[in-house]
Order: sequence, then C-alpha cells, then structure tokens
Amino acid sequence: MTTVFFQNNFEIEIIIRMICAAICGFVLGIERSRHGKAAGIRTYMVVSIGACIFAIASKYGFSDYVGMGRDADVARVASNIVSGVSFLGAGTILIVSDRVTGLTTAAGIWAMAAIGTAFGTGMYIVATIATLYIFVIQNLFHNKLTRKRVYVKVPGSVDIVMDSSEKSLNKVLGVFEKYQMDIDTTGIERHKDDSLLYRFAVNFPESTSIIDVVSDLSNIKNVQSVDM
Amino acid sequence: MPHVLLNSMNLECALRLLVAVVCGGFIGIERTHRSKGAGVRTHILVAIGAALFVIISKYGFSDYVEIENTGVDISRVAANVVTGISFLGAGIIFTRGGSIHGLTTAAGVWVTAAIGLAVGAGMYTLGIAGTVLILFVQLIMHRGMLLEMGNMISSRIVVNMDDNPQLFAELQEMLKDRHIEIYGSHIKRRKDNTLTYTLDVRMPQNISSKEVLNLIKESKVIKSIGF
Repeated sequence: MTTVFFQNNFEIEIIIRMICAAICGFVLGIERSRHGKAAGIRTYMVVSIGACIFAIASKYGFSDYVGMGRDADVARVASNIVSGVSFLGAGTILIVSDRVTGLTTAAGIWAMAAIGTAFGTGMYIVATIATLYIFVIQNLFHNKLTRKRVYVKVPGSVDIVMDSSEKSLNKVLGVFEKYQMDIDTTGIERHKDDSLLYRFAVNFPESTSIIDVVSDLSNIKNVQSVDM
Repeated sequence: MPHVLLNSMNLECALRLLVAVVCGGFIGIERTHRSKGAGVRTHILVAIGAALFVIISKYGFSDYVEIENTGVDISRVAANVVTGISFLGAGIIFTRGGSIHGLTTAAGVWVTAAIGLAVGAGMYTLGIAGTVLILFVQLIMHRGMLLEMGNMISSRIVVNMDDNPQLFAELQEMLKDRHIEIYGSHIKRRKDNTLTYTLDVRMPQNISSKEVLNLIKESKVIKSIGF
C-alpha cells in the first residue's frame, strides 16, 4: 500500500512526496481558478502540501524519541488534519442573502487535504487514483451541460418594467422557461402610471447568454425596460 | 464485515474510491443544485475525501510501526472524519428571522461522509445499503408528500405601503386567505412616510409570480411586495 522509494535517503523521499502533493494540487486547482473561485490553484496546492507535511511529521517525526514511558501513535497528528481542514472549509462557506455558496470549494479543499495526507504517508498510487477521479468528475461537469440533471446553475437577477397584465407576465415566464431559468423569488413594485417593476431572483445555466435573454424579454409587447 | 474484493490492495482501494464516488454522485443528483448550494460535485468530493481518509487511516501507517513503543491506532484518522465533516456541515447552517435553514443540506453532507467512510473501510454492503436508503427517503419525502402532511415552509415577505393600521389588517386577511401565517415582523419607516414591513411567514408552498401579481392587484395600497 505504501511505497518508500528511497529507503536510504529519506530526505529525498519526503521531498518527492511533497512535490507529488503539489502537482496534484495544481492539477485540481486549475479547474477552480478558471472559474474565478476564491480557492484556486494556490489554495489547493498549499492545502495539499500542508496536509502532506503534517502526515509526514505525524508518521516519521516521533519514533526516534520513544522509549520508556514515551509512546507515539503515528496516526495522531495526521488524524487532526481531518478536523483542522474542516474548520478551514467551514470558513470558506459564505451565506449571502440567504444563499449558501462556497460549498463545493470547501468540499474540494477537504478532498485535497485527503490527497495530500495520502501522499504524506506514502500511498502514491491511491492518491493518484483519487486525483484522477476528481479530475475526471470536474471536467465531466463542464462538458455535459446538456444533461438536465447535472446542470450547473448560477444565481442572477432580472428587473423588468412592464404593464400589470397577466398576459405579459405569462410571456415573461415563457422566456424564462425557454432558457431553463428557475425563479427563486419574485418582487413587485408599483412604478410610474400603471406599470409595475418586477424583480426576479433567478437561477440560470452557466452557459446562457445574458444578451439573448434580455433581447427576448425586450421583444415582448408592453415591456418597457429589462435589466439583468 | 469489511470485504477485500480484489487481490491487489491498490486496485481494491481504487474500487472503493470509485464506489464512494458513485454513491456520493447518486445522493448528490437527488439533491440537485438549487439555491441550497450542495450539488452533485460537493457530495462526490465529500464522499471520496472521507473514503480516502479512511484508507489512509487503515493502511497508511502500519509499515512504520516496527520500532518499539511506536504504535498506531488505525481508526484514529477515520474517527476525525466524523468531527471534521460536522464542522463543514455547521458552516452550512444559518438562521434567518428566527428560523433555521440549511439543516437538511448539512445533514445530507454528513451522511454522505458516513457512506464514504463505510465504503473506504471496505464495508461495501453498508455503504450501498445506506445510499439506497437515503435515496429512498429523499424521493419519498419530497415536497409533494410533505405538503400533504401539512408541512409548511418558512419564508420572508417584504411589503411597502402607506402608514395605516387598517390597511395592514386587510393585508393580513389577504395573506390568511392564502394560508400564509405571520410569525414575526419588523417595521421600518421610510422617508416618504410609507412603512416597510418585513414579515417572517410560514406558508404551504412557495408563492408563484402570478400569485404575487394577483396580490398587488387585489390591494391597491401595496406599493411593493417582495419575497
């Protein structure tokens, strides 16, 4: 399960493990960075290397000083990586206007710490396999946007000024349906004369062109202005 | 109870991680990404992370314990998965106007970690049975059935109207007609002497846009209404 490449020169072994952890952090972090997430390449690499160092220290750092009345549980320090990184992850989670965001990033950091720990203990193959799985999953998600069930939808808002007829509202809802936009909340405000200002909080697929939606909405009769 | 299915331990672990990914994926698909935040990817990452930590816990240290007085508790790292994932879950929970939200999402993440942990330890039956049970619960207990059981959802309505208690009483009647109960309110006076009521409510289901339109048309005095 665990491999040690350099039995004689352990320092080199350690460096190799850290480099592997860093590389895997890089590989998985690229995807996050490309989407402008707060935890990008650097965070993933650093978490991976950090977990790796903790694991190495846990496993090899204490056995030289054990003796009478002094014991070492080589897994103890490493076990705290798990709880520790969860604190970090929980801090990544933000609640903005009653929406929870940053959950995928937090889970990603959690998985990254696991991979770093695996490299630290010397489980090269298992760690690489896990990295591969996550890499494939990440890319699967951004290529399969046509499958309804795994849609990645992002939050947004649409403000429309139009008349108060139900017909117009139906047409707007029709446009939303066409672009597979889900309405979270609806707000209505009385505007000048008899018109109403609608504020929709929506969720729409990442790949949607906002310009298309706005132009479709503006083409509806009685719609005075659209803001997205 | 743990089973080792393949001869090569590395392949075995690859299989366990794969099963964890699949289980996490299934649970995640049912928790489809709405504004709750925990989608398929989150559940998969939690499951594979938990499984990997357990594999590390169980097999990662035993090669270095030949030295006297050095021992390893092979369940220790795994034990911290439980506490660790709970911190993550706690970050999901938030309170809004006296009611708690995100609890089901947090519990879902927690149970996904449990399943990942079981699979990582080699208890395939436990993990898969757990996944099936959770899916069953999610499918059976979805909105439709809960509504019939009288379940109410908590929400918030913001209404802006003139300062007139009688009009507000009429508004309350209107809401009551639609089975909306107000359990908390906050009033703010705006510069033009209108009042903005922020009402914490309980209602049988989410209000559709058309109903909001009807509400504002019914009562000429509402200046704006939002959810």
